[in-house]
Amino acid sequence: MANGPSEIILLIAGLIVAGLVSGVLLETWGDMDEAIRDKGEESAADVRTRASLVNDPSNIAWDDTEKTAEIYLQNSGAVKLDLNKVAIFIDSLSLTVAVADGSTIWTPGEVVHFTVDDTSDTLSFSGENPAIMTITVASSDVGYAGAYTVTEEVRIVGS
Amino acid sequence: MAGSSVAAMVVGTVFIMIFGMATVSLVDSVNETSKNSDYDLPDPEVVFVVVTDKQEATGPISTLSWTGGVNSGGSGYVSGTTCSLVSSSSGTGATIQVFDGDSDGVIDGFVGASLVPGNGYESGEVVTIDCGSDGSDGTATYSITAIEDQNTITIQNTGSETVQLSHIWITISDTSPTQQGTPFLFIEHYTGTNVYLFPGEDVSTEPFPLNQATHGFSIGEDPDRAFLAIYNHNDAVSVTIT
Repeated sequence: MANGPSEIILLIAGLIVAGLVSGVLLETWGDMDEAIRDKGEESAADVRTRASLVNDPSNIAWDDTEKTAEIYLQNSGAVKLDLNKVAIFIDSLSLTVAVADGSTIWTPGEVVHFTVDDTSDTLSFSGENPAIMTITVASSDVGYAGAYTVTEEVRIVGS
Repeated sequence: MAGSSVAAMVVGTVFIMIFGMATVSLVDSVNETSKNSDYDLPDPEVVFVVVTDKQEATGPISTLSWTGGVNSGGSGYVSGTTCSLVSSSSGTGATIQVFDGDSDGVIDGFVGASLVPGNGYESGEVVTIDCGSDGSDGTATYSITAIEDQNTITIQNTGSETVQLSHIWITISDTSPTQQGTPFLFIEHYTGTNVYLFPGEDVSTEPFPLNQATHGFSIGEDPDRAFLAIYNHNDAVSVTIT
């Protein structure tokens, strides 16, 4: 066996240190593993979440009296989208978004009709106006909900 | 010494195994993440071949008129009754509200705004006015002097993916004066049996009249632009109006 007690002490000390270091390293690797998995699931949710504008972007009617427009969006992703998590901005102004066609579920490929309303009466369009429309949607997945934002140049025609 | 070396080797081997397993798990996670990022969403490419707005061989009734000796006012008709226009060819669905000013049972005319144009009627065709079992003799006739234009849309899959027809949306709009139409599904006017549009294939709708509720334009209007949307792909074309 060992040549005296000092060698045994050294061996035991070495094992303890190695065990502690290993524990710390394994815990760190475990955290990294979990973080990478989480990121993967988030990426998977994000990449499957997408929506696109169905309206002709060269001609989006704007009711300048009511400050409203009718917007049609297609779920062009691979997961259901949450109808309550749709945000639409025109020229960076957030608009109130309401489902106009009674849809309660938004499956891939389906188009939903929304009415957007500038309740702050900030926007004013008469005639043809170039504008930037930003649309944000989120998936209705439980756990990781994917998100997607698209910005389009549109021509808003006020009346 | 030998015993402690063996013990150290065993413990070292165990550590190596643990680290190895952790490494494999980590690499798996990285691979899975990488795979998720590579996920491809549908990327269809569908384009318009042509969109026409023209008078077809048959169509919805635009105008009705008496044409002298050809037509008859019949007898037993009740003014204000909504009656069907019975076609001698393929027309169906047209109705009018008859007008009998002197209450003699002979039709004097019809309420202009009451004409429901139906579809499938020929220009020049004589239609019989059928009011059902209201006591009329069902012999009154009118002549169709004009039928409405109809739109036909032909699209082609120019991409490499098969496309589900029920995912293709069309919006017809007018550029002068600028007026936005209402998006509608291509398959609303497609009567073929295809569910999918395969690469290189093209399909057409049946000729269809415009409808305010469905398209955002009334039957007599001539919007001049068509816009197609499917997922992130769009196409637009001028409507050929003749």
